[in-house]
Amino acid sequence: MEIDKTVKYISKLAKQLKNEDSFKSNVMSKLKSDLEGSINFRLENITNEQNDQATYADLFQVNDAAEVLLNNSVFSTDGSTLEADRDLPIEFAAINIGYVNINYGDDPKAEFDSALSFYPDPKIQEIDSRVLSDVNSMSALRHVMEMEYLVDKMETFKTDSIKLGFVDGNFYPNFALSHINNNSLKQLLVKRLKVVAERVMSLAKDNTYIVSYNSSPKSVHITSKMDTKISSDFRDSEIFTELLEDNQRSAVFNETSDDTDEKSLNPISFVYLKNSYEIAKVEFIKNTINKDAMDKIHSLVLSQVQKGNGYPKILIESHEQAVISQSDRKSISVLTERELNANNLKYTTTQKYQSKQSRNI
Amino acid sequence: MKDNKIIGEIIEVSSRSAIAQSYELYDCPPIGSVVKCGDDAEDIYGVITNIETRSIDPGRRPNPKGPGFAEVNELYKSNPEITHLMKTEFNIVFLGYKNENVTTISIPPTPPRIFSFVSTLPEDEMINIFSDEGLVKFIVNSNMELKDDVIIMIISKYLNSKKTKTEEIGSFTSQLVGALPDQITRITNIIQNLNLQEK
Amino acid sequence: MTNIEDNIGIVVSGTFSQGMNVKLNSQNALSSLTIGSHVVIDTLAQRFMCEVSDIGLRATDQRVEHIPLHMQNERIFQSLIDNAAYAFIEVTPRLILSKENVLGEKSDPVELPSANTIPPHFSPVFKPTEADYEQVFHTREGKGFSVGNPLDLDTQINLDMELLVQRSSAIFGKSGSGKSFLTKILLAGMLQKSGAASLIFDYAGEYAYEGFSEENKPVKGLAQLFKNKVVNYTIDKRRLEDKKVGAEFLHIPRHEIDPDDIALLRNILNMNENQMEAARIVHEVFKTNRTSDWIHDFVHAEADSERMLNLESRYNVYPSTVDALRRRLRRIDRLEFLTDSSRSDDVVKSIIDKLKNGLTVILDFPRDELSYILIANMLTRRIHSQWRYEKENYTRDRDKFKDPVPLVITIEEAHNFLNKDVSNRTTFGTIAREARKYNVTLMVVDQRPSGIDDEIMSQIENKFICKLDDPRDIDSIFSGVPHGNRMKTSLRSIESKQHALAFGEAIPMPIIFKVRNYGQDFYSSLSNESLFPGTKSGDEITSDDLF
Repeated sequence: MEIDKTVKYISKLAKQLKNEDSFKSNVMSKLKSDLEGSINFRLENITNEQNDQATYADLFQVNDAAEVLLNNSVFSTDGSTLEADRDLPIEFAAINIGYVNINYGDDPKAEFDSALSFYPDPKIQEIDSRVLSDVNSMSALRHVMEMEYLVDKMETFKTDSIKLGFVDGNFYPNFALSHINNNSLKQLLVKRLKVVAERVMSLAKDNTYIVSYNSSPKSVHITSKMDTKISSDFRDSEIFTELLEDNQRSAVFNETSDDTDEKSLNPISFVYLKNSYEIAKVEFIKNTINKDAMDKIHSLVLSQVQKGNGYPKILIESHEQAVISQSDRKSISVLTERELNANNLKYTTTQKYQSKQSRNI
Repeated sequence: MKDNKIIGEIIEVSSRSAIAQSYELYDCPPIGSVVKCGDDAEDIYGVITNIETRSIDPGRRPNPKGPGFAEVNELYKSNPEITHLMKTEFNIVFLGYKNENVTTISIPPTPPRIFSFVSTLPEDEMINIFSDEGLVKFIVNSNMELKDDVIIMIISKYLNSKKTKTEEIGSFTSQLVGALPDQITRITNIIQNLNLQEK
Repeated sequence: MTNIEDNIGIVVSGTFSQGMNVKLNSQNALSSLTIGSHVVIDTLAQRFMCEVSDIGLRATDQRVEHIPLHMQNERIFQSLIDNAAYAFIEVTPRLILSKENVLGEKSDPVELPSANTIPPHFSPVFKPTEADYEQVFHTREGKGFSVGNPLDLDTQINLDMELLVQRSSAIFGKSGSGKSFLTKILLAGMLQKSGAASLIFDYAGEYAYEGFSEENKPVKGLAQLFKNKVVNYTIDKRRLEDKKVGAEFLHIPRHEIDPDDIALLRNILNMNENQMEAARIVHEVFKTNRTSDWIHDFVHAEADSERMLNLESRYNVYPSTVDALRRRLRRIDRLEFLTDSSRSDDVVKSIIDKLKNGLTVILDFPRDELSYILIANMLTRRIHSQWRYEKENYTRDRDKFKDPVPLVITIEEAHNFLNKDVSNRTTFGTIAREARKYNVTLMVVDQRPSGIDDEIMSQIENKFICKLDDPRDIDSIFSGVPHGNRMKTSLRSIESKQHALAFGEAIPMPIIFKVRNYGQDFYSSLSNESLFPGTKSGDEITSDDLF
């Protein structure tokens, strides 16, 4: 590797970033006064909690954390994919959903579970071999499965305490969905998401809520609607870093979208929340969480972030639960080889694969 | 800990020793305790020589949760997932077996199977094993860890179960002298550290 | 037989020459084990009677001596004692006992063999039982006499008195050690059981009639205990007047004295070599016949008499020497009990006759050293000569002549007669060297055994040792004695004046024992016959009879 060339390139980028930071710091230092100077500036396509047009004034609506409820239950799912190996004579992929529930308070306990699914699955026609190798398809599928599993578990769990489910990232797999070429699959997934959303809304009536948690999001829902000084260079998280104190949350915002698929899904609301580590975006289905509930959720999220030293503990554990370890991958490989051999099928890979494994001179 | 309670299963075994994992975190008798691990046909006795608690996933290490908790129990209560993420394992060194009602202090002819249940012993059965005059010598000659601590535990436990202690100390000292004739310092350390409760 | 619970230890090592090492089960046993005490090693095949020759402490690890201060507590000590830190004794196998039942009262004693092998490893060790001691000290019926008991048991130690008198004996001990009482007990035993005659030169007047113990309690004498068997003589006329003392006056013809008798008085008379030599010459000159009273004649001779002049002219004896000698011999001449030849009664003959009849004759010399030494040697010479004559006759013709009765001559302050300088000139030295050739043996009583010639000491075959402190005295007793060094060590355990060590031909094995009390119980144990002639056993004896 050419070390010199690399160092020079990275150094150049670093200097660029430094300049940008310097510029950004300058802007941020005057942000509040600039916003106050244009307090009624309209944020296009953004509504506030009252469903009214959102303005700069809404940016100043902040909420402090309430005291954490002693008794609460948190849930989370996460997934990981075992990608299909195209070099094998049999092509399959697997999705592992990891699940964790932790109850706090008078009856502290935890539950860990996981579920492994293989594809292609004859029950789901839409998932064929081409889908297996499409990252976006598998990503979207996985996200849907995570949500379904989460809702399944939360529906059956009985407790009098508040129940809060965490989804990692955005509430809906917008990016992945938008990049799926297979339309039938896409339709299937959207349909399933709608069902999930209905169930989420139903749960919300029973002190049970599901939100998504996005760590240091790159989203520009708000900043893209602000005046040009801000809109071109800043992200929402940078703005709210300035506007929020530690442990405060912003007002609730809703964004209307033109995207066809997303439009058919239940709209999403979001808040920005500043913990002592970073800005996080919390998304939820619109109108499922009132202020009272949001106060509780705010405290719970902060508590989870504290337990996880910067990231919600429940999401950390569900991620760990979901991970397909190297030894598991190796075991699958061994099992595959054995089964192929048992069926007198020649277990060989492509020469290309072989050459990567042996790496001879 | 209740007598005869099954507390775990063997997950590794060799002729002389085994590693068992307890069903519940920290649920393990103290070092020096004798446990029973065996199949249906034969009881095999072993002494616990080491207890370890660590993360189930070797790639994950516990990090401190405090400060802010007045007690450790509070900390555990506030983080209920901990007990699912860690495990307690304990080392068992075999010291005898019972076959057809005869207890022999010796390495068992065949070790127990993997997943054999490990259970605690009732006190009278434990005292019976401790009273065998070959036990101390067996431990001394074995390769178990923390030998002297195990010996101290065994003798202390035995003596505390008896009404008179003076002659019994002499009996154990005699066994120690027989096993360690030229190690008076070690013998006196063991005796000095016996944890004898006043009756 | 021994009870397994009485096991005090096991044999762990040892050799025949050095002794066996016994590891004690408990250090509690140390309180009852002393040097010279006994233990029994019981094997499958044999039962060894052994003597404790050493006691010690050992540890499995020498670092027990360096246990740190903070660990020096009751728990550690109690744990280690008898385990890592234990006591051991070194024992010498002496005899092999029979593993059969104890001998019956009327059975003959079995000579127990000396130990000639060793017990095997881990043989159990026990304290001896009464039966063990009875087996060792079993005597022939009518011949055994109890001299005491083992230190930790009440069983009797019986000695065969006939065996005892066959060899010379000695009783040694420092002043106040109890040797006089032991001597009296042995003499009483000989009187009662041995059939021997006894001539006792009683230097301090202790043996015949009532005396006093150290606690000032009255104690009976042999003449009181054995009325018809004991005859008492004294050289002190004042004692004749004492009604309590039944004694005859001892008088001896002066002519019986010879220069060797004078030689014994050298230190008392403060005579130098010239004077000694002059005495011989005087004897030669003045002893013209068998009954010449040469001392008297010399002392009273005129200075210008022919014999006196001859001394100088013919024998070159200086006048100053003559004068010095005369002064000294005058002391002898003045002795009351020395008579001239005119007396017809021969007390000496009378004494000899009594001895030949098996009686005991006690000669009382109330601490008159000059008289004691003079008479003892002179008289003994005469008696010995008589016994020798009779023995030679008997040897020549057993049908015609009788074997002279065994005679034991008891002398106190024996070093005066048996020291290296004079032992080859005294009759006592001769008797000691002759062993029992002429049926005459000695019983030597002394507090300075180092003053006795080594050769004589080696001829004394039975020894009774009371407390002694002087290492020279102790060394002299044991020189040439097998295992003498070990017995020497055992002497240290004699603390009480009622304890004594006995060993020798007539003693089956060396033993430290408690001398029986010389008092009322002793008097009662002697047969009625001896106390009250004419009574039979079973006749009632009242206290008026005893006192």
